[in-house]
Amino acid sequence: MAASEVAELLRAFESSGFARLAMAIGPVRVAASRPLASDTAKEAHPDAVAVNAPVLGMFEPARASDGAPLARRGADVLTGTPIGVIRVLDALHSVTAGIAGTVVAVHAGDGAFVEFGAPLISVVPADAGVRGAP
Amino acid sequence: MSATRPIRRLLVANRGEIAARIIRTCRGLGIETVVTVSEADRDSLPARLADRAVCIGPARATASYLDIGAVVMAAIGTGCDALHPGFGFLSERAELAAACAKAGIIFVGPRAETIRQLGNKIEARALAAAAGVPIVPGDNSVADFARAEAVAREIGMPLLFKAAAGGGGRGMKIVRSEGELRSAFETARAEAQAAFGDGTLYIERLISDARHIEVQILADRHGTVLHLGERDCTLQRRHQKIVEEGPASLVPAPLVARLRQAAVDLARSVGYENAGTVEFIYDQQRQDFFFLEVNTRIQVEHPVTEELTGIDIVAEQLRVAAGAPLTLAQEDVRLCGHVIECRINAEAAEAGFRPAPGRITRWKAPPQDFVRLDTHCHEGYVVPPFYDSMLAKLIVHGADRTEAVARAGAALEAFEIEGVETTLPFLRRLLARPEFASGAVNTRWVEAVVAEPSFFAPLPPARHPAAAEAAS
Repeated sequence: MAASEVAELLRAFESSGFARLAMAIGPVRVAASRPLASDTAKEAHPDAVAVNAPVLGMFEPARASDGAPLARRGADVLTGTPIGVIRVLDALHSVTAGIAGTVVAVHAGDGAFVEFGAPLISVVPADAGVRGAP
Repeated sequence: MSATRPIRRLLVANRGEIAARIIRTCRGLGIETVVTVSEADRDSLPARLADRAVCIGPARATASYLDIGAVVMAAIGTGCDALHPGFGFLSERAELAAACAKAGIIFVGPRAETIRQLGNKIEARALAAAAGVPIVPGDNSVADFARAEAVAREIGMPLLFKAAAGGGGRGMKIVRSEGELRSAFETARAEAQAAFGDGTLYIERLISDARHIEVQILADRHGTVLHLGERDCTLQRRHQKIVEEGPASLVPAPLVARLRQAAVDLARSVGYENAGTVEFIYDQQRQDFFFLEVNTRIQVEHPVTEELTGIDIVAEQLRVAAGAPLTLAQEDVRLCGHVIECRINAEAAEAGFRPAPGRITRWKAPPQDFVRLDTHCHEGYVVPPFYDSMLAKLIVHGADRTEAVARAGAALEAFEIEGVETTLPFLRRLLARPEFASGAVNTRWVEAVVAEPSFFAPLPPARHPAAAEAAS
């Protein structure tokens, strides 16, 4: 694998939505990672608070009757607003916002595998005096 | 019998040195690794060595390393096709093996049913007896004194009464002579009745001058069962092994041969698969051995056997877990020289072996000649207070026991760890004892010498004869 190919690969990674890259072609191994989405949300919205996964598992967002996720970007959430459930084998753990405010970023999509403590959404608290996304 | 399935990505469901050790073998085999970490271990060496680390929960082990759902889900979520449980934590939980099977993930260990059977002490004892393996002489249903007398006459003195209904020392009485039998029986029966509502007693021969000998076995699902020789783990404190060695050069060779065969017979009788250890108690007075239990996992002290045989036990575990047959035959297994392993823990030995977590400010390992060091520690590492205190395993090879003892002493002497209290000074003193060199020890020896007021007394530097020799 030529150096130019590695560079091309890293450019492709940079423009992708992925946070982590690991690949091996023959003896060549390439690994790259970038800041988590929650970190970039934090930059854009310094007041944003991440709602983290309380357990490791598969995330399924809670949806309104029209099928749209309750905690979508721009939506207002209350402390008790359901964010979704995390499936761990046969068990379901429900997650609520735990904070009132506006969702400025969604980090975990439908069916995403989330680690313990991984950010699910970022919320700018209603009492922060700053409104987030339009 | 299921078909062979290659393992491409393995979940290492453990932490510390064993996680690092499993990852090392996987690298050599081209198997990708994902290691589970708690919040406390995110920056640990295994997390950096693995291709990926996945956080399964908070520092508290019950919500992370002991959470079967989280561990199996981590394997599913990261696309692993197999899971290695290491030792401790969930390694001997049949439920984990069953949950893996249900999720279509290869469990690197025996079948769930084997783990369950052998994990039950009474069932394991019955299985051993059925396989012709000697069990400690005794009787588990002594309800009246006449029966107690008859059994006592048969098995001899000293003996031990235990409550048949439970453990924990209640209802336990040691009988050293026939004259004490009746009063001990009455007391034990009353205590058992009070504690468990059942006065039925268990009588067992008490083996007071014992060595702990264990046989490493390796088996595939195609009917091959091998032993990889034995280890002598007589140096223990409160049932925790401290120093392990192999082969069992202090047990007569014909008995060692019988021990090995007994382990293979038992493993074969239960259709054992993967690596395991059959533990025995060896009665030095009567020169006789009896079955204790089977550990259905890789053991802390497996490097002793690896260094003796040159066999990578983790690699063999992965091979047989994938369904492939063992490529070794019994005659390929040869034990070369003598190996001693010392467990180095972050503990203040002089303060009753109190755990001593904290930051390691200096870590200087001994020179690598004849030495293998299995560890996850390094300078700057913070030993967390949440888990067991083992920092490293120092494994030393010699052409014979005398040379191995000398080299182990020299390696301990050269090892420098600062910032946390460790058992290094304790191990140096222990290995410098003449009883260790001569082998005149039993399973109670460590506790006896530690209780000597002079044991922890300050000694001049270079007190170890081997260290002085190595320095000259």
